[in-house]
Amino acid sequence: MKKLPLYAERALGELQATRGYTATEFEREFRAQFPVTCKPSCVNCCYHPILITIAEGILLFRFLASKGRLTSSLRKKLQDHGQLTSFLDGKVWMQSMIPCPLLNDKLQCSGYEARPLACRLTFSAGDPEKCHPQTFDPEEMASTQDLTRVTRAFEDKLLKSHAVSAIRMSVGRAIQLAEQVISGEIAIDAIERALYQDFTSP
Amino acid sequence: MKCGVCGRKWPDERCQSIRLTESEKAIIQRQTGEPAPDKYIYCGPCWRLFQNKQQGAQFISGSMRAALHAVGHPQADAASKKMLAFLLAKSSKPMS
Repeated sequence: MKKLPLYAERALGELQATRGYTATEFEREFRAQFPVTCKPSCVNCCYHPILITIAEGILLFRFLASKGRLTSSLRKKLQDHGQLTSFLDGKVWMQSMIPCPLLNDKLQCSGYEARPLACRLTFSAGDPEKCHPQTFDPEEMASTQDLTRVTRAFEDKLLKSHAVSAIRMSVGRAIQLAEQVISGEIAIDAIERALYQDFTSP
Repeated sequence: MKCGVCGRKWPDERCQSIRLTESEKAIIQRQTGEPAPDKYIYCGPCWRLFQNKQQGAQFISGSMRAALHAVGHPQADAASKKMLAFLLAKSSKPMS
């Protein structure tokens, strides 16, 4: 698969390593303290607004492409999701039950192994029905807000130090943009311009 | 302008406004007991959401479900499900 400029590849490598370590450590500590009540086929958190950077988008894109999962129907879902959620308010997003584009017909995540850190840090510790976006009770989910803030700040600093944009966008838009970056259609340092065009387009 | 759905301020050129007819105003006034506004304002993202019939209906019924749950209404789930079915049926028919 096509490589990006060295500075971007270094940022991606560092991010991937840190993400893996953070998620594994968090899960180990969380499971030791709380009963994890997530159930198979419960996809309530797949309707939550998840915003990721272009770096996570590239990691996801590469994973999907390497597994041959970037089908035309998934591309359509990514496009629709990107358009529908672009600049959408978080509360409105929650009430609207917009599924993550990676959620497939079998209620599984198409990009599970490369899923965003925000997804990896999400567990239910009470009634999983309380994770439903329309009846959401944050107390029932793992208290990851502090950890999320710290990891986000770290990710921002890391990406900026490698001159990569740390702006967050929906999963659909991030994977779409990632494909354009990998193919050379858009330079990685022109991400912010592309997102501004999203804002100004009708 | 301030979006009537999400409450965020948006540049005027990125907003859509829907002017209410006198009969629509009368219906709203009768239902809410308060004078109806002249127009409803939607920001670009909220407007796009309402253009999608499925998600727009989900948003309305979801907001209703959340509000009913918040006050502990025992029929919150059933009522919002009924509302969703009604909205989806209504949106699939041509406007009269």
